[in-house]
Amino acid sequence: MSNMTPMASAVNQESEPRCFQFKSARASLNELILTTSDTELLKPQLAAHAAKVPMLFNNMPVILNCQQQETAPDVATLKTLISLCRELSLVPVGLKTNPDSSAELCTALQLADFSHQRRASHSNDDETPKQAQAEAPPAVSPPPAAKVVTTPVRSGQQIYARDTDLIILAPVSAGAEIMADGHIHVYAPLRGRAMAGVNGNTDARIFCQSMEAELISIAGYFKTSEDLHTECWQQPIQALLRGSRLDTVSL
Amino acid sequence: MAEIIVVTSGKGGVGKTTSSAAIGTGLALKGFKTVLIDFDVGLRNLDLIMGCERRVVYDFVNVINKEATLNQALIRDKRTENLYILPASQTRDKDALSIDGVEAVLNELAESFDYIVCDSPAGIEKGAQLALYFADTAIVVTNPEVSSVRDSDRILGVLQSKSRKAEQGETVKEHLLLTRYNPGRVEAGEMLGVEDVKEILAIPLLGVIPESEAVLKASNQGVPVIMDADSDAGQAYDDAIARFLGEDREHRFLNAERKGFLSRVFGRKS
Repeated sequence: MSNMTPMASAVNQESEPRCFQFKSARASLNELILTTSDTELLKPQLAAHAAKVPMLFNNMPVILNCQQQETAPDVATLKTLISLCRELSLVPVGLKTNPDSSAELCTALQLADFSHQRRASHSNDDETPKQAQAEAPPAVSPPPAAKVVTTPVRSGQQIYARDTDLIILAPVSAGAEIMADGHIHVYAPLRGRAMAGVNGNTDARIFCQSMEAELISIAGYFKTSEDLHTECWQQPIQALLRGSRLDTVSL
Repeated sequence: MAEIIVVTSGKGGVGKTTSSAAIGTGLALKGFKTVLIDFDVGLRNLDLIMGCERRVVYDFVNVINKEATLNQALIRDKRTENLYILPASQTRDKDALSIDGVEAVLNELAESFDYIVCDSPAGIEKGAQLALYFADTAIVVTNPEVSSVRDSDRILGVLQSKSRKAEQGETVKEHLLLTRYNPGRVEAGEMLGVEDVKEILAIPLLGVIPESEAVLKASNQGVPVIMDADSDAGQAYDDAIARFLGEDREHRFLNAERKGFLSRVFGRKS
């Protein structure tokens, strides 16, 4: 008998198929950053937004972010917030709040706790999240599609992508000027001037396959070809702002 | 229906008129009825290069102002059949040209000619813009030198934004003609190489014309250099015309080695 049991269990394992599997799925989750828990204030604003972009509210899973509120909301407040979300076809799946009380709240509300994750990234990089949070409300409305240019941008020509990104699939000649409120991508040599984030967006970046520019600038911070010659000439690079420093990073 | 070709460059002194004369003559030699128009009003040169300066009576501006008919103004080339020259006015300036006037002249020429070659003035102002406005094809003349390359780049931008084709949403066909090429100086690093220029301008290469004493000689004699079949420049223009007409010819005169061989040949001759 004693050696029957392991035998039986072994047979069992083989005959019955496995019923589950863990797989990493990179589902994209949006955050709903609430600067207040006052539903009176929130409801009309959220409803108006839902009416404007009904596609977005189509049972979209969201993380409720209450970290910007001065006092962290309690269970009762969160319950009303959650029901408000469900009314507007949002599906709250997680919570970000004060990490000291988040575990308790999440157990009570049966939500996943994202509070600690946020903290970690906060301490790593102090600037980017603040920027992202500050710009989150306008970013929710769908941005205009990027401007795509497929022909060479010649000396003396100017191209401006208003409110959006600029994608160029041909060389940008010396003496040409390309500008965008968003990012600039050049899938060819960049020899002219490139200005990203011209409306002051410090998160804008410049990407190019071969950096040979006369000048690059992001939100007014610039580098001339003299600097670029010593750093990254003819290299595939991206340029981004780190604080008030315009950095070039190899791609 | 005639094909309108503009020979342009942005920068002055790179060889537009020399090239216009060679291209026009080359096309006529291949049997196409060709007219060369000098758009450089006030700085008339094409008639000198073509050796017909003594036969100029009426000019382009006279025709536009209806002071003369086209037939009165067109000069028939004495050496080459099928070739005509419409000279510019030396006493006027670019303001004498009007877009409607130019269009009327081109339309009339298009009825009887196969190719209309427009020799553009330098610059990107009115004269150059009018020369390229009606073009179907552009031959961009460039020297292997940074300022010339940049100006050519600029004129390519003008072509694709301010020409009639561009306004109609079409594109003007572009060809690169690299002139005054000196392979020895390219190898010594004193001059841009063909590949450098091609990479910057990103348009198909029609031909490379070597720097040659034959060009100056031909200009001063009023004979298009393409007529000098013994010269390297003349042969290079002949190759370019053949390529323009769809023939596949290998590029010559690109490296110093061959240049050395050729100069030895010429050295023996002189």
